[in-house]
Amino acid sequence: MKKFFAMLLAICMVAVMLVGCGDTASSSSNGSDTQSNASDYKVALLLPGSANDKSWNQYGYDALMKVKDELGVEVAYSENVTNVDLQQALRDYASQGYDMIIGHTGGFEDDMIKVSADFLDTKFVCIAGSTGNDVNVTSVDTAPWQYGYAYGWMASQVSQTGKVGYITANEGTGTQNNLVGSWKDGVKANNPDTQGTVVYLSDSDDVASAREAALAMISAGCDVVMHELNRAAQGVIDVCKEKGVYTIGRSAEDVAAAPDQVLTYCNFDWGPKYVYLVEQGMSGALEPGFLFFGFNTPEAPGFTFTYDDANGWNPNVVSEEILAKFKTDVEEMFIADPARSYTTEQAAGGTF
Amino acid sequence: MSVDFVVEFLSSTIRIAVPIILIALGVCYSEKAGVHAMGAEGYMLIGAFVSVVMTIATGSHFLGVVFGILAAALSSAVFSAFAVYLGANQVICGLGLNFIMLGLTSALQRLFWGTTGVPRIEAMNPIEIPVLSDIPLIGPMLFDQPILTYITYLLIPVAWWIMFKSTWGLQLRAVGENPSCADTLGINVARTRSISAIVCGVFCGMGGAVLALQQVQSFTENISNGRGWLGLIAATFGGWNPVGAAGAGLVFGASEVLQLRLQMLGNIQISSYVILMLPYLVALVFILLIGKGRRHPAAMGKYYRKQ
Repeated sequence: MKKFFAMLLAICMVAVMLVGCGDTASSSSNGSDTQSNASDYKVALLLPGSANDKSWNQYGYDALMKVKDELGVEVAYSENVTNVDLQQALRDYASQGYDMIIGHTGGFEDDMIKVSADFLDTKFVCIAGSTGNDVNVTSVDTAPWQYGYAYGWMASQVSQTGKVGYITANEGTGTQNNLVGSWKDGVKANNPDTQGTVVYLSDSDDVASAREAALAMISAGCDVVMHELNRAAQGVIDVCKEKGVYTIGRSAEDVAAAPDQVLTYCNFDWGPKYVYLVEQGMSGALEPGFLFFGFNTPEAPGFTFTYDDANGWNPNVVSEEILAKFKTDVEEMFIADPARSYTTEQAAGGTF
Repeated sequence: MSVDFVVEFLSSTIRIAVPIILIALGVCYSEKAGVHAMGAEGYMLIGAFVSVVMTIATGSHFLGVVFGILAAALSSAVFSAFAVYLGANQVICGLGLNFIMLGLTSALQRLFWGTTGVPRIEAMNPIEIPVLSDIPLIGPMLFDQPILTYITYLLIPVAWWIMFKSTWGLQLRAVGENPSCADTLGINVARTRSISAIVCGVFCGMGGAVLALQQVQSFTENISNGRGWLGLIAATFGGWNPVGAAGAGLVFGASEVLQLRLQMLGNIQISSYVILMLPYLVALVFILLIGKGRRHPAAMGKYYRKQ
């Protein structure tokens, strides 16, 4: 009897773990309603988190669905891919004949470069990567140093107390360095007297910690608190709404939830960029190496500041005058000189 | 250092500490009776999930909390059926339960809400207690909190009293120390142990409800994020005494808040990863200072078969 129960428990555990934790879902178009030339092309996407996080991973998932709808290619995706099973996942998709494998985080770059050497016919695309290689790995980014700078500039511009804050996680990764380093630059470029504070959390999904960090900043006098987090971003936005402090959102939903506090959100709309990348891959024109989309990139804009259909920034806070200054001081500066990069030291936490 | 800063620091500490304290109280009960409470994280997850689902379904925070607690209690009852009655390895069962709950809550969340995620719910608002909240310093810090926080304040002495002053508490400690001796005195060892394990589930479920309803105001995947484990450690540091465990929970809360405040200090050239270690460093120092003399209940984790 005891053995029977023990076996039953073991089977239940394995079954639930496979169903629940694995989260390896795949979705393939059946090909019947797609163009014959495109349906041969197969694209796989690896997401580091869950496809419904309303943030980074969902951008990737939505973009893949756009590729599927517009180009009619066969797609598959895996969620919650960790660095432990990444190499195996890459090899699996490559062996199954996927023509392009997209990794939706810069953290996958090193392993993608390693595995790519064994599958020279496969194109590897690393989103938010920073180097790529010379053969078949293309790293793509949305120029975080451009929108990070823009956020910092605007935070400093709209602050009444002269104190602004930024909450993020994953110190030391390439994207974070560029984002936080440029945010700090932007704050000081707008007004050298503005005091900025950067706090790194241990986890970009821990909502309760993010709430406490935001409360701490507000009690220290910050009246603009920005963030770059996944699920935890919700905690920052909630606190800013409760305390009447300006923040940024991640989507139109956040603007609708706190229309007075949210200044804007970065609409990355990875869809057109994914479509562009897959088209380039299909025609064989995709170049290996590093490629970024920023302000005014003709193929597809890297990001679009969005408040609502008519406004890029909250019109009750950001006046026409400020927008004009933003255009000359930020946009035109980056259009003239788009590339920048920051080190971990430049992106260090603390008050500056 | 202004008064405002101190008040803000301490009320932040209490917010962070309350879920950890609730878990720690639960763990005290389970482990004092000799049952490992490795599943605390899992109970917390299911408690948080069900409390959010039921709050959305019924529109009542009260029913949300009740069902959250019931769900966690039910999971701990299943655990105790295996661990206490069938003698399965308690550590393995508890760990397995954590995986099951993480998978189950994530999968159900997808099933109910697809890729849009769990909707927001209204937060449980702080209730100011008249007179008491006017006490300078302590007032706004302790007596301007949501209802479950007040219940937690009350549960600490109650849990202590039941464990050390009541007959059932004596039985519970007896089965944790020497089950065969307790058995000869006519105590039903398996029943006492499984009730203790279920009490642990009740506390953890409430901890999950506090986290989800009072703080996050929704459910997100892996919402507990290690808090169940911190509760488990707090109980150990507190010597499985509810008052000590609550104290350890407060220290963990304070070190988490201190970690955030340290990062905000001007221009300290220390990597955030080093500062983020602070709560765990505090845990280590605890072990060195007071953990040495701690002895766990003698029969902890040992299956007792009635002769």
